[in-house]
Amino acid sequence: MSAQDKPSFFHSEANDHLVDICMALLNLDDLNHDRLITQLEGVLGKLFLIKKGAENHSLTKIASLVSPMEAILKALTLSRSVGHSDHLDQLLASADCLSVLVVDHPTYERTEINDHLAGLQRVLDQLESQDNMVIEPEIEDAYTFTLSINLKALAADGFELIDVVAHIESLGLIQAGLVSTPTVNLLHEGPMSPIIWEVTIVSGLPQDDFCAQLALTPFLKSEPAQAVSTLTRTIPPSHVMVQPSDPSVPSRLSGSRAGGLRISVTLVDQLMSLAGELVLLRNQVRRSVEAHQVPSLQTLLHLDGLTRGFYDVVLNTRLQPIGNIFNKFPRLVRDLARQLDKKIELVIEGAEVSLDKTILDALSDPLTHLIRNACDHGLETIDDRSHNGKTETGLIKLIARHLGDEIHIILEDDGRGIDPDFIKRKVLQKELLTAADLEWMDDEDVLRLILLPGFSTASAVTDLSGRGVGMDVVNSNLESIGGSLEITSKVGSGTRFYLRLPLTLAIIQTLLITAHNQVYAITKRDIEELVHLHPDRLDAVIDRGPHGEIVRLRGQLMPLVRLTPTLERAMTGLIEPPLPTMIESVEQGILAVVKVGLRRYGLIIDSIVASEEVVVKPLHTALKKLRIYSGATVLGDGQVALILSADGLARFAQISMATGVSPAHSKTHSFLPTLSGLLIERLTKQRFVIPLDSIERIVHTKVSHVQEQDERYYLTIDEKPILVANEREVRATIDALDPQQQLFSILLKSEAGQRALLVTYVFGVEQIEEQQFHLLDGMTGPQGAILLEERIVPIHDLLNFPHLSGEPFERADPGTLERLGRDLV
Amino acid sequence: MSLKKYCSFWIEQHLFVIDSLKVTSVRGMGALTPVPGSRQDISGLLNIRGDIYLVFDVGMALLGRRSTKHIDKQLILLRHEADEFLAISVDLVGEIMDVWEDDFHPPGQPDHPDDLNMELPVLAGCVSGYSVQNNILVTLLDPQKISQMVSSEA
Repeated sequence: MSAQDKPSFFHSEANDHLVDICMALLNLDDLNHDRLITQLEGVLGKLFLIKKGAENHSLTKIASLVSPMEAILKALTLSRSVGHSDHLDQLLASADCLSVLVVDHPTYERTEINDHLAGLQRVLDQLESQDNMVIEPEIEDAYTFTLSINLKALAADGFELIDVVAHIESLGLIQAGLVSTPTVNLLHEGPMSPIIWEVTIVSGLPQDDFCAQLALTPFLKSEPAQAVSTLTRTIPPSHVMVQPSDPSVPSRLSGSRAGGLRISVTLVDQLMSLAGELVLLRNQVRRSVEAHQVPSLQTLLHLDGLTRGFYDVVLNTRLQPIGNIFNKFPRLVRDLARQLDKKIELVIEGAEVSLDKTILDALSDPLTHLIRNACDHGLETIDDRSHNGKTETGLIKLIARHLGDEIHIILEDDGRGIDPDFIKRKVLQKELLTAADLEWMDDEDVLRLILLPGFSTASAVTDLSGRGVGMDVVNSNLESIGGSLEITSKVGSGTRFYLRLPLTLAIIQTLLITAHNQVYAITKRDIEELVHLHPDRLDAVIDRGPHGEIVRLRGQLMPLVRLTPTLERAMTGLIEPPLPTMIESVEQGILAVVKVGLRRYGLIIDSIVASEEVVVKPLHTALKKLRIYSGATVLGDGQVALILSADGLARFAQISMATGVSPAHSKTHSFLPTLSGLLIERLTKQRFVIPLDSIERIVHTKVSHVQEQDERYYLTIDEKPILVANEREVRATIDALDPQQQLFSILLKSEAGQRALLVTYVFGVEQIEEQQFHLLDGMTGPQGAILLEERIVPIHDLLNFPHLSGEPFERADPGTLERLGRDLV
Repeated sequence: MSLKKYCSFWIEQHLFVIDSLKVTSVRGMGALTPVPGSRQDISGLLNIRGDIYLVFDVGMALLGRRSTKHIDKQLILLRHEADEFLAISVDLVGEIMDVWEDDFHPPGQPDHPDDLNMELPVLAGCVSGYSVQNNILVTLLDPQKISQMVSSEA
């Protein structure tokens, strides 16, 4: 097998360098003079590393393509300019070709580079012909040397590394350096392998003078043979060139870091440490069993902690920053803008947000498609924007946020928006649906019609889009990784695509429920809240709508699905939903408010068995077409449970969902101006509202159940110790409370592990309208307040407390609250 | 041609065999998890040592009815591909039979029993050959084709 057939560390490294090079080249326009030079030198350094690596692996095509690129960048560095945008295009096209050579190992031999070499040569010729560009003399006067220095030998002779670097610097400019420790077979030799520093120096000295100067350095005088193994003058870069890049061809620079998964040594150390602890625990359990003792609760808690630790670390090994795919979009948008003759600004936020590599890999194509659509269809031309009183430059925002065990991605543009009436006309014209189907659809449902297979609003097929394939594929790709897509749009103002994705597909938090005498799992992130239904309850009523049952929960209407009858229908093969009949009496029913993107529906379930973390197993191909299920899992008793798909269930039940209150509607702040909040009474008797989205569940507890350990407070819930979040408040009040007093423990969604808020009373859920809500800017405590029954009630943004410090309530500034109170009254 | 070992099983009065190298194990039926919405010949899901097997009722596919009660059936676990775990439920698992490979006549050969082919319309696509052993007609099934049939007709 030749070197190019097998992915290696070099390939992975080179791909990373190419991603960085591409990003750096794209940013050149925005840099000031000093940073421009630094950036160009950085790119040169990375190209050098790619070239050296390629030479080591006998990948001559890569090395010969890098050389002219280096020459152009050196010329730009000397001229201290970014050059013409065509030059940049050609460099980017060559970087794309390099990426193909690096990533697509099977096509290495077939990939032609001659056109790129010719194109690069043309750029060099153009640069030379410019009056103010002096390339040849500079290059001729500058010599590039590569030294291989054995640092281990130097260290053995007592030289400090800093002195060595200082001496090398006195000989010329250090352009790049690479430290390598060759692999040794420990069976044959000891761990005394040399540590080689391969350093590239640009010097004005010819080779003889350079060698003479080298010989004067003290560390070379002592052991020159050992210290410097090679001394070569690199061949001056040949002048070469590229053809103009084709913007319609997407960049091959994938940020997916081909060739496996890179894991930090810290994570491996953590795994080793956990493995060590697990061995100790196993020995402990073994001793207990041998002594015929039941392992203690403490041992089980220890095991639980270890399992959690293992899960977290293993999950972290799979998590990759979403920036790995976001990074390719500036290039895509730049190329599309040029092709479409539009001005487009792309703003990226949250590139550091991490998610599972599997999901990341599957997300790249759907996002690319959405961005292409936004550039092509979403944003207007410069003339149209000016005519509509908009700025010439269209804005596309790509935002990633980490919320609980989900990643939310928002892609929005300030373009022309999508007209629901236009969609309806197109759907009828293409006979995808009938007028009767459209009659009862609201705007949200109509917008979702663009996800239908074969739908396209483009009047002409372009190179970029308009073929009518894509949005349905985007949607199905997202569904295949457990994600969902919602679309909101306002004609003339823009469109927003809202993607919800799970953090990982491997282990998920579920609610185990029963229906049809079987246990099913439903992902917790699909459940907004659980409501006990009973006849006296006035804020949750089941009623009959034109297309089936609906539930009215605190004034909000949503369609209703009864799980058991729905599964029975599936069992008997009936597809059509039943005709609305008499409303069944729901004496002891449990209503789960299920969310699918921005939309909600109510799901009546028979009973709740437990809340459990489960390992997701894929379904057999034969069952994948049943969209009711998203997977299966094995429960603690060995039984298999099917995992219900919230979206699939709604589709099977053929309901039309309404849009509910959601983070997507946030316009002015990261906190949610319109939200459902739980009104509670703190231990200090003050009232507070906590956004429902921050809450996992509520558990009854007693004062006596609160345990103190090392000045922190814990509760045992589901046989797990849960840290109390409002510990300062508990410390101040607990002695005065009756040990038998009932309390409520509110389990919060938190990245930093489970936390519980201890409160004395839960009043219920309040729907807070935007106009009721007042933001408190610049505060780290309460994020706002509302007026409820003439009382100022602060609201906490617990979702934005990734590091719950234990006293989220204590930071409220009384002065600000007082001021706010005056404003409110 | 070589003498090969085949795992035999019965569906009512029919004797079938499959290549024993394509079988990982044979076991009794366990508590199945039904899958509402699935085909009738898919009996459900079963956890076997942490892997979730799809249980395919060969009798149902063959005869259009359940030949024996679920709990009385036996399972033949087929060698799996990737994450696809498939078990077939049969009335009774028989002996391991040694049969010469060329004893099986492929379907379509002049001497192959057309009447049997008519009787097994559903499984016809999964049949690799027929043979008569001790005056009993033996039908050789291809596990790969069974697997494809289970997946494709879902």
